[in-house]
Amino acid sequence: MVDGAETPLVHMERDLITSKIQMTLIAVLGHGRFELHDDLTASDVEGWDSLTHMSIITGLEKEFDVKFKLREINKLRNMGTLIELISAKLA
Amino acid sequence: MNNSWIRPARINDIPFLVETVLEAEKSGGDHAPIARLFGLNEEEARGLIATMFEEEIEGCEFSLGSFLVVDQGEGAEAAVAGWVEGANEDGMSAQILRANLIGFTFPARAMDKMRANGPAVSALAVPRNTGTLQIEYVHVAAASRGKGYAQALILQHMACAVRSNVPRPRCKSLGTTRAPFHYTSNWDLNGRKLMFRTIRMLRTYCLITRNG
Repeated sequence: MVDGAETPLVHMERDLITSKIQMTLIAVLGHGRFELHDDLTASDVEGWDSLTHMSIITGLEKEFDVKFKLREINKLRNMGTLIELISAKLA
Repeated sequence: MNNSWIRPARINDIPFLVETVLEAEKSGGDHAPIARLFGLNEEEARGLIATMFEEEIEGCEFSLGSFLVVDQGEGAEAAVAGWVEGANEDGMSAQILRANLIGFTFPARAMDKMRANGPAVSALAVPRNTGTLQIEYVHVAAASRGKGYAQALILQHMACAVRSNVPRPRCKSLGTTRAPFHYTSNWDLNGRKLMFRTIRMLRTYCLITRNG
């Protein structure tokens, strides 16, 4: 039952991270016309270009009170890896 | 090209690569957009560009590993950046890598200025197709012009692309030497015929280099 007790907590944290990422994206991009899932990439989202990318990264650092390293953000292939990175920084 | 050779850029070449970026961005004018759009003077931009090169991130125009240089024994005299879009270890686009580098390196006031110049910055974005060769930032030191260095460097990048079956090169018109761009553009438009000429010229060039 220990596993059963821990799993919902992990899911809840991930959901919260996902929700905050979504809010940051909407604030920077000015729209919510995307479905946030693990395979989502910048090229899938209208308006996510080099300019907004910088604002998104800055916005996420503020939202989660974390600081990304350059090599970390250069390895973010998709939304799933971004959520994992934030999750690891918050752990 | 006698007594000169092409080699990958090294850490010691960073000052010349910074010069290459600024001069290519100016394209014969007085102002480099990378400085102006971020509200920086040229000296500030110079230091920040050097810092980006020192990060040694692969796969964009601020990657040390993207540059080939011509050396005559006293350091770089010409440089050209070339990379295959998205072919870096993590498959990241040059646009995102460049944005990450700038965001990580430039001061907050520069980022604020950049946001204020948003439409102009967006207009400078280069659309790139994954898997295609990108040629950017062409520069030959003033004293070394007219020796075919820029063309030799571009051909070397193209030869690497031919060997790795890259479908076609794409050129951004930034540079202090214009002639090679026509050549590369023709290759893009006309395909195999000019690619054959390119390879022949490259072989000629390599022969001269070996004997030199």
